[in-house]
Amino acid sequence: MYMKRVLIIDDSAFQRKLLSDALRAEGWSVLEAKDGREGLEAGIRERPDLIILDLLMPDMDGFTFLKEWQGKGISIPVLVFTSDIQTTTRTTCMDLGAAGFLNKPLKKDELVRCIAPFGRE
Amino acid sequence: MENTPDSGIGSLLDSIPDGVCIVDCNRKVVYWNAILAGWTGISPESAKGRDISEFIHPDQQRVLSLILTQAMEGGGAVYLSPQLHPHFIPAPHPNGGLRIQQTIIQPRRGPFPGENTLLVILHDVTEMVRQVEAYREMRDRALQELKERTRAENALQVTNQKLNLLSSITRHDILNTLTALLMYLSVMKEEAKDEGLREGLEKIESLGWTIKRQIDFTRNYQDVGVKSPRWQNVQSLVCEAREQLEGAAFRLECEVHDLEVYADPLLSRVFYNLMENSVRHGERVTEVRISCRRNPGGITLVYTDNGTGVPDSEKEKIFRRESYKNTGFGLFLSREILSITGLEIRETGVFGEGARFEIRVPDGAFRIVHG
Amino acid sequence: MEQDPVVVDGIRELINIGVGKAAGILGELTGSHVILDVPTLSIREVGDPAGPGSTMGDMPLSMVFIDFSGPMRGRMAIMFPPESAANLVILLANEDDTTAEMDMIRSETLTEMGNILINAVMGTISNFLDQSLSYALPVYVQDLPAFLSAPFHERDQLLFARTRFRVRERSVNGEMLIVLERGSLQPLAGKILAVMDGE
Repeated sequence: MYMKRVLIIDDSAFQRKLLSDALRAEGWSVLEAKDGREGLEAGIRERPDLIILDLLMPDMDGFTFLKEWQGKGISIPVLVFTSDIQTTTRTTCMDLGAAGFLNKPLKKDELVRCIAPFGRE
Repeated sequence: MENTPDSGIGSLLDSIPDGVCIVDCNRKVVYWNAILAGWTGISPESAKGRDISEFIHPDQQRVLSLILTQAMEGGGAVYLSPQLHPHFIPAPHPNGGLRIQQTIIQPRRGPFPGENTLLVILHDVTEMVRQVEAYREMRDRALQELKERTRAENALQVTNQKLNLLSSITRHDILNTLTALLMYLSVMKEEAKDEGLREGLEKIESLGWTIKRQIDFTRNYQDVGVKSPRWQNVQSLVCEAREQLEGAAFRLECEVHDLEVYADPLLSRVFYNLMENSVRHGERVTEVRISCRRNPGGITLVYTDNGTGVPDSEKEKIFRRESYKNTGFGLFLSREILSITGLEIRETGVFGEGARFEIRVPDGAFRIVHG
Repeated sequence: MEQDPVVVDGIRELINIGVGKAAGILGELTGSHVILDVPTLSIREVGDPAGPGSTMGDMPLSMVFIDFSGPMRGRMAIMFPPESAANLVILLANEDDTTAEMDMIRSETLTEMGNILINAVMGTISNFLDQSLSYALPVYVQDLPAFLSAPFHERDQLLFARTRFRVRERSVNGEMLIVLERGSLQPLAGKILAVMDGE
């Protein structure tokens, strides 16, 4: 059976672990990247089904990643997962092509509900 | 509910001078104290069971919703400052306007889920805030005045600079013309055969020199009070002045150490003028002494020489521009220089026993600086 | 004493979440978007000579602190240097910046903002631990940073985080300090390590 693949881009190993545990429990195969630059390379190389993206990262932040990703015209959806709860941030991300916006901390049922549409059968 | 105040705690909460209400996890009012009732005109019976948002200021609904959620979700107390949330529960103040409140919202956890409540305490800080606002107004007014004063001073400085420049140019031109005039007069005097003519020429020459002195005076006087006063070491100034009179044969004894005086930067001229006067007019000056003594309200710098001194009838006149023995305007200038920072000078010597000048320095215009 | 980088990373992320919540409230209060910087975190002992606020100079700082107790005992504080404190008040209260003076009205505003930040961070931490803490009321002081850790023991732990907000071209630098009595860090560190070990 094909396993849905997700790429998690977050500078916190702790956060990546929390997310990946939750996603694996839902049957996803998980790839990880620790900043936007690494995430961009991995995204292009691995072509996952979904990307979950933090915003506040050193080197290349989430906003820059979204701009670059949009520029590449790749249709893999990006779900923003951030501690920044401002509506202005949400709007900016959606304008940059984000497919969804979730706030930290991780609430498992909310995550599951959010990612469900992105899994390929 | 277990955690709503019974009559004991209720009467206690009624007796504190703050507005108190308790809100359950559904945001319904379960307690409303007497102070709050008095402030709002809403009785406890009328408030109980209603949603707290009915009583909260409309401007604050969205933010307060966020904060109350935070409080219910396990944070600490919510603290609402008077500046950002001045009227959490709007209540009129007896002196007009609304009461300004400092509000604390303390979550209280019940033993069972769903039994959390919020204790809301409103502290009236209207008077304190109004006092701070009054102080701020005063401070802003003072700052504004200072700004205007600084602007005026800057404008004056510019004007002063222009005037100085103008007078420098004019003075320079006049002096050049005067120099030429005096030179011709000198030649004419040499060549005059007639005694009467020569006397006349001498008088004209003398008047010419007077004009030159008066012009020199304007050059010196225009600098008085132009630069800001500053702290200056007296001993250094005295030594500097002595060095400028290199050729003069008198012994200087300076008993002033570590003393600084707050005065116009031309203070060094004062000591120079005094020493120059001693040399020029003291007739037999071989010693000059500068000392200092403490007085109520300040100190006195004492300058003495062992020359002829100043007759009693001249003691004030020497400080005028038209002066004794043609001392010129040095002492007039000295008095002007000292007066900039409230210092005073007078001559108090005994005629025949030497000149004695006392410079009075008030408290605040002197300091002792060691090392 | 160096802490496990995994623990540092985990706590930093929890602080990050708390700061994000606080920034949201700050955005609501100022009516403007708040730009956050990546927070940094280090863990030391109270007796460590390179103490808190050592990068903030020798001036007294505007500080708000809250003492807490329960499964974790200690104090959390947020410290603002004078210019940042003034900027924050100006942003929140739409004041003219005629002076950086912290009078009573302004210090109250700072207390409110400090309280929001501290509660957001400590709330996140206590929710992660699934344990509730009891909090004292916030206190505002203007003093040197060493004042905050003075009541604590040399071997107590000091979590020292630096964050920066930018709102409408004004920058607000803040340093957060969590002092934990001995034994209080262990449950938090333990749970983070348990998550990382996949328990």
